This record gives sequence, structure tokens and C-alpha cells, in this order.
Amino acid sequence: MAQAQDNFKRGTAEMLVLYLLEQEDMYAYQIVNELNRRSGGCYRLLEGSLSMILMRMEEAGLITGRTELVGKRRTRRYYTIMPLGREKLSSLMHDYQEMIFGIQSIIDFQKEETE
Amino acid sequence: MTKAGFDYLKEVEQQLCGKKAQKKAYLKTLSADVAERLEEEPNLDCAALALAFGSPEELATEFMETLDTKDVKKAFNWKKIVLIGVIAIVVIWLIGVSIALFDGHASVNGNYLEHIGDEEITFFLPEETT
Repeated sequence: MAQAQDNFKRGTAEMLVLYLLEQEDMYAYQIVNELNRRSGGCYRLLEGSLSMILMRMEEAGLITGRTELVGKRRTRRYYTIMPLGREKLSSLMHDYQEMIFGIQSIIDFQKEETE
Repeated sequence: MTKAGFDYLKEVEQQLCGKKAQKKAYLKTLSADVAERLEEEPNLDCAALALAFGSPEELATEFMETLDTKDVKKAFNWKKIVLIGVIAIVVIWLIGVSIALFDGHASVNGNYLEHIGDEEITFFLPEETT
């Protein structure tokens, strides 16, 4: 079950991170907390995994990062979604909706058969 | 960055495999995120960091999975080439040593030739009695 959840997370993490960044610029820890909070604690992404995802998305030009000074000494790296990222998000959301619809259809089909 | 942060990053670095440039890029991003987190919670120890960021083994596995298959294949091919090269050198060296040990003497009709000074002395082995 845990393995299945891990695979599901991996498949959807990029989409969800882009989705959050479309709403506002965020820093890594904020993204992890927001995913956790919005999912009611169900979607817990490791911060090390998020670093990997952010790095890949930045390399691909989907997002861009900037370091900001918070207070006197602390720094935070905020991420902003880029136009290419918005396109990618739209494509991922479409694929996700289609897949969810397909999976639900399979389940409903079996239910109808047994009734 | 605290000592725990450095220790954690060192452990992650030891576990990662793949292209040097990719490892470096990931470690740079990760260390920035770890430093950011430690600025908020400076008391986090190595175990707490592993819980939040993932254990070094978990991250290494995930890092491998996200690498392009081309890069992974390349990395494995290099390992293979180096291994074959080392084995070939050892085999050649062993053959050379064996030849030197077993064929250290020149022989004529099955008899050993020894050079003592300028003279050449031939030792005739006694014929086997049947």
C-alpha cells in the first residue's frame, strides 16, 4: 500500500507543485506544509523529494527561483511558475482528469456488472 | 548550517550515484533547502532531518529513478569498462609472471642451458630407464 502511495505521489507531485505555484509564489517548506494541510495530512511529500522536483522543473524552465532575505539574516528561495510551467500544468491536469475518469469508469462498470 | 546539517548532507552525498554534475546540482538545491529549514528550526538533529527530508537511502533511490535512462546506462557502461580493463590488466600480469617463473631457462633438446660467466654449460639429465 505504501509503495502504491509512493508511486501515486511521484506521478502527481509535479502537477500539484505547479498548481500551488500558479496560485502564489512559495518556498520549499511552505509547499510541503501546504500539500500536507490541504490534503488533511494524507499527502506528505519528503522535503528531499521536493528539492529534486524543484531542481528538475527549474532546469526544464517550468519554474524559476529567487532568493529573498527574510528578517536580518535568514534567506528563503521562492519559486515562481513560468509560462512553460502553466502549459505543462494544463497538460498534466488534462491527463489526470482523463485518467481519473477512466479509472472511475472501470470501477463503475464492474459495479454495474455485479448488480 | 549546523553540524547536523553538514552530517546529513555528507551521508546523502555518499549514497548518491550518477553523473557528477547532476549530483552536484541536486546537493546544491538540497543544501539550500536544509539550511533554510535549519534557520527556522536550528535544533533539528540528523535523525529529524532524515525524517523531514528523507533518509539518504530513500533520496539516493529516488535520485536514480529520476535520472534519464541514457545517463544510468552510461554510468553502468563506464563501470563495466573499468571492471573489464582491471581484469584484463591482472590477467596479462599473471600470464607474464607465470611465463617468467616457468620458462626462466633456455633449453636445448629438453636440457637446461645455464650461463656461468662467459661459458655455456649444458646439463644433460639422466635418461629415464624403462
